[in-house]
Amino acid sequence: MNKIYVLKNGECVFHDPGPEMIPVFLSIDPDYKVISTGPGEGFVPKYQQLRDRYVFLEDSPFDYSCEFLLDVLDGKINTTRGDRYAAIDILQAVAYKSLESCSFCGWNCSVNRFLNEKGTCGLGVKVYSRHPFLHIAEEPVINPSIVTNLGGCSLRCKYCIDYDLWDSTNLFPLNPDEYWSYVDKMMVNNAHITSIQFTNPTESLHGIINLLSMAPKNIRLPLVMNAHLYGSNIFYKISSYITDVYLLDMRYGNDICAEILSGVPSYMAHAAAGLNEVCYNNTCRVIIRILVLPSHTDCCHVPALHFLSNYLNRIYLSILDQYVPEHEAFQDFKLSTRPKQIEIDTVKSLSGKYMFRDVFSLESSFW
Amino acid sequence: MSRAIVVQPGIFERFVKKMRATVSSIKNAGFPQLGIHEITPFPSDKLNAVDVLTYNDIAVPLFVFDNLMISADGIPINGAIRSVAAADQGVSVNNDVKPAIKIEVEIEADNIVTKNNEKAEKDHAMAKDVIISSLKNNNIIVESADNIGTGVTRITLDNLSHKNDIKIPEYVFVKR
Repeated sequence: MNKIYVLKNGECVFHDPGPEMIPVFLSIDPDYKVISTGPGEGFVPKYQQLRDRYVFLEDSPFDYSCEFLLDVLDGKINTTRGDRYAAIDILQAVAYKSLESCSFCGWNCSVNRFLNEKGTCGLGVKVYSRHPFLHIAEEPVINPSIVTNLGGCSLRCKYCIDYDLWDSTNLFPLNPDEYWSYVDKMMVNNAHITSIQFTNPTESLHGIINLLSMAPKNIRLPLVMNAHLYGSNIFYKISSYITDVYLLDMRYGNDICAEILSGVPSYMAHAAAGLNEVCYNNTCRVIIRILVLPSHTDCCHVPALHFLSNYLNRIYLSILDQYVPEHEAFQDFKLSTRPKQIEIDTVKSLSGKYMFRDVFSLESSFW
Repeated sequence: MSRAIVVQPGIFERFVKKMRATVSSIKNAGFPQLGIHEITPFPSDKLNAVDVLTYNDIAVPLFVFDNLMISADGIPINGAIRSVAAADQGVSVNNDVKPAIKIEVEIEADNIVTKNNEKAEKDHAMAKDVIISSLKNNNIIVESADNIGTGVTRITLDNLSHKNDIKIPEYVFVKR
């Protein structure tokens, strides 16, 4: 946890709270609880399943096309000769090969990140992050979660609360040994950890797969990908092999607001393509978050809910009332305040009318 | 973007109530000057509102916060602080208040808070002070508390205060 916001009316927003905050929360509310609904004892995350699968290739994985390698992973091409590779290593090769002409996000920059060419996200081949920390206030089905905030982003949201992540010089290179050492320490101290989570994974997918390929065998925590919905099909395709839960931010309900507030074109088309991929082409669990923005109910949240109703039976909904003006939000009159309670209530009420599955009230059926 | 915890403003009202009771009890025990200045004791390094609430102790309150003073009615007084003197001891438990403290506060009262914003400003200041005090009491280091826009204070915590070896106590954990 590194930020607390105190608002004019005395409201407080605790951003990314960790266990060190529990005494503070108990001081404020003696009935405070950390609620969790984990997947149960026998759960094996996809990345561990992928590590236990093997395929055979006669040449180095890097000598094959991404399409061929994905067909091998999907079992469409059956190879029985050559060297044995863990399936996760094949996936890693696909991710790294994709960097030669990067199209992980909707910008489709096509730069060669291997040569350290940088596109909109500002990242080359290296992946950067803050140190992982234990988040105690996520949705119960993934809570508590070991969260790693990754650097670099394709979006430039005016109200971004983590805008310091855009500049990777403030961050650390993602180091598997250090990461798993952190995780191990946290797990020793907290038996109840429910998930590991990466925020902003789209632009750093190759680094995450590299990390997971070195996960200790005893780690059985589901992997949560907390992504903006401006990823490409290739991002969702590759990430689907390792992702147990997609936690996706549905920020807008039209392209104009997306362009003005986040600087991205064709947002809705990318959101639709991404949701089609995660909802209909694989079996991952999908939670959609809607951050209620002030004065964007009619233009964004209402149409977004209508749009999401196409995926009613595949998604769980999580409505966030935590927006606080940050970064450049004060330059925008509408964004320079907290959302009104009636705006939050309207979004919640409409989601009820559409009969979305509320991730807070249907926890038991999630896993 | 991760989820955050939102604490509604009303939660702080009980702190104020307790603070006012504290002022009242000290005043009744022979400190009429407190009434003159009508200053609500807000938490300091040594006194935490939460502790007062929890243990029913009354410690020596400090009345000055970043040059912000708040009246017993909760209205911030924007004034220059001329002098503050307080004995460093004078603790009372339960209703047995000992007259061991001497407080001299001289201010130039210049209340510039408009009437419409009075409550909001009061709540803001109250919440900020309670939170900062509670953080300090729990050894969480506050790096900065900046006003980042109209009525929004961002409290940034020192990265070092985040430790990955802290346990979630069993009594707060609910497994469903």
